[in-house]
Amino acid sequence: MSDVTDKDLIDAILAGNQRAFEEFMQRYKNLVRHIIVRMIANTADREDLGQEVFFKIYHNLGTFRFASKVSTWVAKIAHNACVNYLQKKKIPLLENNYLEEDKNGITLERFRGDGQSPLESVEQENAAALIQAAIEQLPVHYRSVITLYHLHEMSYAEISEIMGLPEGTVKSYLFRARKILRHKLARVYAEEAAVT
Amino acid sequence: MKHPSEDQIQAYIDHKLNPEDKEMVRNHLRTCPVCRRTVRSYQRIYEQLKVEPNWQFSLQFDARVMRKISKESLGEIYNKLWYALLIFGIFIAVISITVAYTDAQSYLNMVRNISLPRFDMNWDFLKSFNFLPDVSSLFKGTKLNAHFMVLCIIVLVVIVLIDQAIQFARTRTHQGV
Repeated sequence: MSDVTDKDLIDAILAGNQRAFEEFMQRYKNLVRHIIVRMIANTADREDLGQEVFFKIYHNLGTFRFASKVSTWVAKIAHNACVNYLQKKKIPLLENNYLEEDKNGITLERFRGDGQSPLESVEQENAAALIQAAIEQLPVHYRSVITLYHLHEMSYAEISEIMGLPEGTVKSYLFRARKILRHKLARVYAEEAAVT
Repeated sequence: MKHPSEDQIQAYIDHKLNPEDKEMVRNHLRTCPVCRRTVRSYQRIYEQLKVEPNWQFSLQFDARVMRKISKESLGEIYNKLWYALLIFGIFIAVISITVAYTDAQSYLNMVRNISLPRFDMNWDFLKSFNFLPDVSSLFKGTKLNAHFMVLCIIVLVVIVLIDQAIQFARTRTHQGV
């Protein structure tokens, strides 16, 4: 069913074909998963939130008018569900929690392991773990922007529509997020470079 | 020597610089090891940002979503049927109470006097067809009760309405597509 267009798939779902919705879910599950993982820290709530997102998608498919890409529309629903969840839990979307950690002198040292040299411990997969850990410390909005831009290769305009923010703001969050990541990881990379 | 800003370096890696700025940054990088290191560290970050997060939905995720959807879709229909049953129940209750506090006997007599006509069906027209002439003899003397016919029609209408309700719940508003 992979050559079926999104429109055909949505038509089939609206005609009552539940298998078509399963196919739709397969197509967009990763997008929804990435948004939820990057926005919601509590792993126990991610599954429920994912179900809620697909449930909302199913019930609102009839109102989708193809004014944007289906992926943009799906991402917007997932993003809004996460924002609602965070607002209910009173978790700020833009608070620089990473600054708090830096003030307390806690850096990425804790992700390095047990005092081995960077080259020994920061292998390819460990580098991924490091960056994931650094991403988790970014404000929620920054995490959303880098996920949509780098992982799903969305444009500023699409991200702006998903997050309901001006394009300039999206661009500024993206640049700032990468700058923070670079400064957080600079020491690790510098040490690696020095050893090599 | 003026170094390009970090934003410019990011935009350079992103291929988002205009040709003039791009050339300027490129020329600068040829001679500046500090900025080359910055570009390399950003490139590594860009590579890592393309790595998917490990966390996955459970294996039962799809089944749970589909179950929820089926349950809720049927729920809409069930809710409507419950409303219909509730209204019918209230109607019966009102009639019962009214009968109890009024002249029940005259009320019952009135109901009994409502009689629909009985039709004696003449099946002779079947003889005009050339095939199976004996069919008419099978129905000879059969009498159809008007109450029975009305009941059949009501049952058919109810079935059609339920079918329509199910169709409506499944397709919902299809106008947008």
